[in-house]
Amino acid sequence: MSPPLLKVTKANKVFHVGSATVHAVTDISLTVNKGETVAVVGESGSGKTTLANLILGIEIPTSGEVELAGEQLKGRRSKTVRRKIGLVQQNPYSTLNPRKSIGQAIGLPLDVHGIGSRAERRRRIGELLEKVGLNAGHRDRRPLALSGGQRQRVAIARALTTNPDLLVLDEPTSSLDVSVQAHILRLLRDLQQEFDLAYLFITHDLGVVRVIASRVVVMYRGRVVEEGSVAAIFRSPRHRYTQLLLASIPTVSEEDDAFKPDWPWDADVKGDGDPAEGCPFRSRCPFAVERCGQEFPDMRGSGDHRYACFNPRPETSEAIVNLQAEKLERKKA
Amino acid sequence: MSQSSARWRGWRRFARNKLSVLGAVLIAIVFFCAIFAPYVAPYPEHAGVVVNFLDANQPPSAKYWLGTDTVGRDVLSRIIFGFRNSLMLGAVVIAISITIGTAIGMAAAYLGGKTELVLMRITDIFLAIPSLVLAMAILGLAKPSQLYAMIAMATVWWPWHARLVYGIVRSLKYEGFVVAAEVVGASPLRVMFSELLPNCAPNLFTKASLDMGFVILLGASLSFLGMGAPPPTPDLGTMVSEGAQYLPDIWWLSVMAGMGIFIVVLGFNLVADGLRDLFDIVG
Amino acid sequence: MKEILTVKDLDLTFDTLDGPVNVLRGVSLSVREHERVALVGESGSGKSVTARAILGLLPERNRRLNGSVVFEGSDLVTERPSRLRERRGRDMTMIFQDPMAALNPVYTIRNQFLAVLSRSHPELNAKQAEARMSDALRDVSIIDPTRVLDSYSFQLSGGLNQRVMIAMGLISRPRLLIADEPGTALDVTVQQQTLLIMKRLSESYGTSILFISHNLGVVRQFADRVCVMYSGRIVEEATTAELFANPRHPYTRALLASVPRLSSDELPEPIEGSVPDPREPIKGCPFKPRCALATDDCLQPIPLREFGTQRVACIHQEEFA
Ligand SMILES: Nc1ncnc2c1ncn2[C@@H]1O[C@H](COP(=O)(O)OP(=O)(O)OP(=O)(O)O)[C@@H](O)[C@H]1O
Ligand SMILES: Nc1ncnc2c1ncn2[C@@H]1O[C@H](COP(=O)(O)OP(=O)(O)OP(=O)(O)O)[C@@H](O)[C@H]1O
Ligand SMILES: [Mg+2]
Ligand SMILES: [Mg+2]
Repeated sequence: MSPPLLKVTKANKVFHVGSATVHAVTDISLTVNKGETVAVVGESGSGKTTLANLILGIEIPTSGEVELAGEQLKGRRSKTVRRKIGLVQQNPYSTLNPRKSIGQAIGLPLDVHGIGSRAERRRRIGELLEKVGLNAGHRDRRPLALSGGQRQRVAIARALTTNPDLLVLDEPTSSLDVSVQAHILRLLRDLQQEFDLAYLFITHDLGVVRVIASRVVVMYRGRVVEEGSVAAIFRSPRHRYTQLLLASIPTVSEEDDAFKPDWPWDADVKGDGDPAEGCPFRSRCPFAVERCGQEFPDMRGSGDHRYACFNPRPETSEAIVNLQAEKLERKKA
Repeated sequence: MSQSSARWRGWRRFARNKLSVLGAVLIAIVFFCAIFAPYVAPYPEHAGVVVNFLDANQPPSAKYWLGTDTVGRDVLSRIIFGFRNSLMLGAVVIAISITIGTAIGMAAAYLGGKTELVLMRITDIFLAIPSLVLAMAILGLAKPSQLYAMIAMATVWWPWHARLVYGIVRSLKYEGFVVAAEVVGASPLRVMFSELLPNCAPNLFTKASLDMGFVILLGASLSFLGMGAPPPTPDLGTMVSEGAQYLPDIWWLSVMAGMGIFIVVLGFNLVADGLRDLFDIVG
Repeated sequence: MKEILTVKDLDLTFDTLDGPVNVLRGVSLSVREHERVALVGESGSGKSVTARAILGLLPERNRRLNGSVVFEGSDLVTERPSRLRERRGRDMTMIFQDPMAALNPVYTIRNQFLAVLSRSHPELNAKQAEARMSDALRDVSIIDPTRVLDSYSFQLSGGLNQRVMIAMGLISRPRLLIADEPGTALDVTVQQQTLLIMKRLSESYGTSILFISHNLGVVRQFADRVCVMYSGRIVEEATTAELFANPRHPYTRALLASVPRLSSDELPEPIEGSVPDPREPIKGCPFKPRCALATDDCLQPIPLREFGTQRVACIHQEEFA
């Protein structure tokens, strides 16, 4: 079997702020295969962006490894490696240099890598603009003349310039409004199909995960607490944090509410003990048992669904799954 | 919106500010005089060593609009040639100090760490010494000449530009577009000069315009203290200082040269305000 | 209940070099005591501008503002700037849309927070202020307030920065809080929590909240009433329950259709076309070019019509009812 496109093994990243140390990422392992979308979800500050930065080479891991197509990435990245990974950032308002034209922004990777002649670059920029649903006329515009959604399209075009295999998308739609988000999600899906792109899709919107990703990695305080296929995790979340996450989704209809697991909102939480030890979620978890305070649970489960919890949520019963399926059918009909 | 129309709108906004337009007109006149001094000045030969005791110490008249000096040279002509000197001085000093200041401020802010510490410490030391004192100290080591005066002033001036650029870059370096360039593999030099520098430019130009006035003033002060261009080069500062000996009888020597300085300084200051509008980014 | 804020016929035009830009076209809305009103709509529909107009934070130059903004009995549009400044930060506060832009990367969070705190509580000494700030940060589920206070904004994640902004906005216990998309960078669990905090604040101190968001799910949970805004006017207004159960305006429906659903793994339907250019004059219904129901009658002026407690600016209502 060929190696996965991206493989992160036991990555750690520690920051020092004043006298405090922040364990932004702890022992994270994950893989992304060619052409698939892996979503990374998790609380704000759980280390998602830091993980992305490790993959992109913006930060150097304190320990652990990042491999791209079987090749270990160490020290300064070569230009060939950099071409293979593209980045789309969260904030469309800061992602483009206000003093440069759209064409210059998209052309930057070509300039840096010295690809193509002037005329070829121009053509390629025009081509990319069309690909992301803009037109060649946008080339000479300034970012300020563009809306948030258009800017995000430009950012996607820029990320595609070097024909990468992997795009790291750090909350690409969270500052866009819903209708623009729907456009961008479609665009991303079409591009994925056309170029066989793999996405590492960081988000906190589980609704988006549901429609775009095939696998999910759930992070909490720098660790992976659950991972698996979208279908498995949405059907039957096992880690208590995932359960809370799904239960918290702000839905727009009662129909959707039926797909959320319940959560004992009013239950008491003990939340004692040294937060550095044991499961980091225990301070918010009404299901915590004694062992949770002593050690971080190993990953358990199998194949396409693994989780790190001593007292996991029981699997959703067939009856409920059937009921949900039935509702879906009825809605379609 | 195309780029040219963006620029055009910048101009229109500039034009709305009446004072900046006045400033621009003043500067344009001064530049015109400076460049075409030999044709504009009524007595171009008076810029050099001319002695004409017959017409010495004449008050302003139809023949000599701004009067003559103690050896009979036309003050207006000398002021016009003086503009040349002043503008040259200002331009060279600002160019040198912007180059050094930008390089240092940019490197300190963008590279961070030890580089930042060392560079900003040096900058602060230079800032701590009063400009005139520093310039005089440097000039004290050498014969008075235009070149030394320029070097001395640039030494005094660059830390201000370094501080300015440092502040801007420090707040910009975490912006998405900087990260995006780094991720693609852009070298630090490219990030600094191609991504960050254009974002410093408007502030730098505004400051340069303001400084132009001040540098010319400082240059004049140095010449006033006898540390500028040696005679017979026409220099506004030197003219003020020489004329001062004859006050109040032959008042026009100092006053007219002083007016010349005033016009240049005022012009650049007024323009600086409008430059902000000109460079404001539009779509 | 008493109305604390009444906005009436707010009309706003910016005079730009490209000519006048008419961004608000007769916005009327009201917020009662204890009430949480949501303002939703696509980007560019004028939500933030409405908020700024209410707080008197619009640029002074080149704008024409008509209509009235009555806050606790006085019209803010005509109030003295100094008086208005006094109210801001004390009686009414705002949480801005972009925390990165509202926080200065050159000062620590502590310095900036202190500046805000000293406006509403000048009497506190350093130790009390520190405790106040820590509590406020803990309220928005920040577990290590000291570290956050020590940090610069760029050392914190987007979500942490937003929570800092929220804590700053709440610290003076304002009468009216305007929150401009306070949840964009928050994950859902923290979002729930911060909404809960804001909810609690509004219930226990009677703080009214005008809540701007494009996240319809959040709006459904948080707001009592919803105003849907499109192209500088309010096209539908209803209680939250009513709006989500029975959206009437085609725009509201389209907006709801563009939300990804848990009950389906299909990509949601985007709204085709884009928000009309505010520089162009609009005849009749602004949504007409993007609307499947549009007919020639939509070119007439469209009044807000009442259906029970629901108000809708659309002539195609009978078909739905
Ligand atoms: N350069 C840095 N210096 C110090 N601490 C940092 C730095 N970058 C991140 N951190 C800390 O690391 C932790 C993880 O941050 P990160 O930005 O990865 O979170 P995130 O999951 O992306 O959050 P969000 O969803 O809010 O964007 C946070 O506690 C953050 O404050
Ligand atoms: N100072 C200004 N001059 C000219 N036009 C302006 C100005 N401020 C805002 N506008 C315009 O007003 C319109 C409404 O902007 P506003 O920021 O209120 O939108 P919004 O609904 O808050 O959108 P978003 O969801 O993106 O925040 C936009 O078309 C914008 O371009
Ligand atoms: Mg992040
Ligand atoms: Mg807004």
